[in-house]
Amino acid sequence: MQAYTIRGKGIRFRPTGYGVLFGVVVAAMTLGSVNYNNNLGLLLAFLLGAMAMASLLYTYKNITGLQILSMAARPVFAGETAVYELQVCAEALPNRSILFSFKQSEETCQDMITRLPRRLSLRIPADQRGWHNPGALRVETRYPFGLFRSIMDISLNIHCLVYPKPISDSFSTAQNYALSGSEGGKELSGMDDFKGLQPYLPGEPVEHIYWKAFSRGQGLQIKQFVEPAGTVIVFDWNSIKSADVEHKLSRLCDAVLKAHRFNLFYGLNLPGKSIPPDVGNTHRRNCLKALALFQTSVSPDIS
Amino acid sequence: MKMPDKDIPAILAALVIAVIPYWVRLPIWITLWCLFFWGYAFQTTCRNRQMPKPWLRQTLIPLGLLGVLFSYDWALAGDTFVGMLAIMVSLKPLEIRTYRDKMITVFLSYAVILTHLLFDNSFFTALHMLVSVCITTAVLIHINHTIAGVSANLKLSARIMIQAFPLTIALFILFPRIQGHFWGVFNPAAERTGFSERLSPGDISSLAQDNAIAFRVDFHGDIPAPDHLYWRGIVFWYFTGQSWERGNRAPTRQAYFPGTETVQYTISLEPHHKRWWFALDLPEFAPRQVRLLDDFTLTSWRRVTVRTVYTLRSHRTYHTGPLRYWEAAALELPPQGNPRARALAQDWRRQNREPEAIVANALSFLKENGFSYTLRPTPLEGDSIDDFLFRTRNGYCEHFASAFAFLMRAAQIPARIVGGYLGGERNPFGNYLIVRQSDAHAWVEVWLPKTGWTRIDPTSVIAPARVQQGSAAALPPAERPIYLSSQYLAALYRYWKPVQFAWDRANIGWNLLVIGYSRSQQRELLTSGDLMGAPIKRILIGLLILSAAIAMGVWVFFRGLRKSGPLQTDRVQRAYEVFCQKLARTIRPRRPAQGPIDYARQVAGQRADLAERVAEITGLYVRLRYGRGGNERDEKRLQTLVKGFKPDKIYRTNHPN
Repeated sequence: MQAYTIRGKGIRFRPTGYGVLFGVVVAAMTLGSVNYNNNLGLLLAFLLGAMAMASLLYTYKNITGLQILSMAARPVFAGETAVYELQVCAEALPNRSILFSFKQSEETCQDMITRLPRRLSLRIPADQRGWHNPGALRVETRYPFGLFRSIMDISLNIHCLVYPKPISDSFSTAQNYALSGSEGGKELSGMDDFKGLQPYLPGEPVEHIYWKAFSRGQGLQIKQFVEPAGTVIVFDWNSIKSADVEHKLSRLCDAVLKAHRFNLFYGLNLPGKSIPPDVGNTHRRNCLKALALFQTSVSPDIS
Repeated sequence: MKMPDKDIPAILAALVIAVIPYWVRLPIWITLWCLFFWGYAFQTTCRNRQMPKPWLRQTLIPLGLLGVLFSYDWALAGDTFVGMLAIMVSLKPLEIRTYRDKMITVFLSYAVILTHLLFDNSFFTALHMLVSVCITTAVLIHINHTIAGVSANLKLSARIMIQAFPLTIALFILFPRIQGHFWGVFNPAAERTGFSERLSPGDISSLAQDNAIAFRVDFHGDIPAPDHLYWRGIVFWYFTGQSWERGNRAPTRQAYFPGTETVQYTISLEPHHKRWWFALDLPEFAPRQVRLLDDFTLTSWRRVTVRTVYTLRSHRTYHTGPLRYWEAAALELPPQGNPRARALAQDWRRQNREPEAIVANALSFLKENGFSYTLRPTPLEGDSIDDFLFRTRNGYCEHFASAFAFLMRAAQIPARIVGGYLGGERNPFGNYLIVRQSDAHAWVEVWLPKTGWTRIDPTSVIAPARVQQGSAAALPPAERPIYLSSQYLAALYRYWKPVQFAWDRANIGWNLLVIGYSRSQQRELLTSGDLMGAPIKRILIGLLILSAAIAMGVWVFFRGLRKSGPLQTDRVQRAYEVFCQKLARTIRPRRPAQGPIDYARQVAGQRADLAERVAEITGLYVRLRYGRGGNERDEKRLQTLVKGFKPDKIYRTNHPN
């Protein structure tokens, strides 16, 4: 989590296209009024010009004091949309009509902010595995007239981990895997051994929820399966016959996901990195992270 | 399903208010046309229907424009452009789809406000301008910030306007004024009546019905008696047999012998789109940009297209010196026509040597032969002077002046006709005269050896009331304006009159302060504080005013910000904010990242007596905010609960736990 408060420094002002048009209109009004010696027309032109100037002060004041708290983005698979969550709150003043966007993306999020903290989600498509960096956050306001905008670019140093895109291929056959363990070569059938019901804990695979019990009003329970005793699978980089690194990673990713879903005891073997067999959410995360960051140079310091 | 666009009614309201002053100016069908299409746009929006297809608008615009041209007889005058602008503005709302359309329409609304100022500079127009700008700006804010309510937008608009005011005034005072025009002036108010280069029957009678103000006069000293208030504007020298014409005049080279009596006065002349300026008797000097002609009238280099303020000093008694050779034109008559009048004049001439006696003869002829004053004279046939003098014998100042000048010339006395105004109405609130178009008058000047050019008003012989009380009083009862002839209305008119005067007084102040502010006044203002005599001082003073204005603007701005209360958000949010504020004061503020349920739990941990109420309020808030909407009853309940919530009071709890 990173917090940032907008102060006056660094805010840039730009007239919008309408601001330019408005300027032309006011200039024409001034010229016309001078031509006709019409003081009232001149007064109107000056009033409009001065109001536009006053509105510039408002656009400045509108984003100063804004506190932006960025949340860690949940990891996504390549090709999905990274969702960056921001929590925004005004320090003392009500700020209004503020546009949040990442400079690189078209996706914007407009919000009216009160003193209450608000949560915003900014979505950017993440196409490449690895660390996704959305770039600077652009905070922009055209309030109140839409004639000027004040822009503040904030580098929040936030990132989203992008796993490889899972590609399911014909590697479900055993010979594609280098299986090792006490009883090597055992098939993945052990998962069908039903053991009993246990209360559901958040994070457990949804597929295992015993919906019949839930519909009877007995609460969420999951079907516990017998862990395939002694079955250990290690997904090995070298066992996949493909020249394309990304394709290999994608297939390994798919394998990890499936193994996790079936609650298997699995490990990962990559060139330069090997993860010993284990089970559970943390293990899954570690494996996927290793796949995501495989041979990537960029490694931002993330706490 | 698309939501109806809530911006369109607001934009329509701004347009309606901006266009209001047009309605007296434009033909009724344009008004109805505007109302119809705005009503149509409003209906379409409210019922969430599709706006008409573009081709309909594209056919209606040329149709409307042709209609406007037709209404104004295909003339491209100022009003025609206003009519065209009205047509455009009436159809623009039918194409509003995007943000861009909305912004453009708001800018159009500003243009409409400006256009009206070209026609009318009164104080009332200025007030309307302020209101209209405030509303249009509120709509501009609304477009750019759709959530806040109408009153919040109006308040903000008014606040920005007030903050912008010091800078506006500074710019107004300091902006360099240019005398003259960059390009031609299309004379937005050219249709206004006034004197033309030619005097022919009917001109002044149409003016007599016109209550518009011609000019106002502020005397530096007492206002002279009504029979001295002959405002000379134009002198007619040449008689064609049908009408009198002015001809070309040269600047004065004439010596004159002034008496001691002078009068000084300031005239603010309404634009009449002619070149002449009005003055009493014999002006001592011509103001800048104006020539004093050899008949002692004033003409400016440019047509008077804006209200013009000038100060003059006039000699009330004078001798204009000997008759110049070019003034022999004042004796010319057409070779033929009007034999009876000529015979009558020659008869007088034979009886008398003295021109004064001939003048007296002519005046008594008019007095004793049953002439009458009317604005509806019998039409003249054939030789118009003869026909008037010996048959119809009714008419108004023009007829009398025309006949009298003819008689004088026939009797070998130089005579000319002067067109201008007679009298004026004193405003009790301001001690100045209001001279209206209905005060238009024509009289005669004859050249007499003892006094030079001398004013003779033949109308005063027939209708003395015309001189003392104005044209309305001199008319026969049937011809008087309705408000004077009816007993009941006359009483009402007497009450109305002071209101009218007070209003005119306010306008005068406005005119002098704002409308009449010119380059000379600007120079005067900027140099009046100049004590050291160095020009740099002036610049410093100007800068001082500007920076003071800006400082004031900034101060008002920040004060306004400090005072700004909670934002006008939705009611649910507001209620919850109030609730949080109450808790923050007595128990603990909510952490920025803390959710409502967590906060409620924490508060309840500290104050068990509040737990029940806090839980209910939080529950309602969460349901209304994050649940599937909520109904109005819940919203009301939340508001009442928050209102009655008093965390500084200890509640007795029913559950001792």
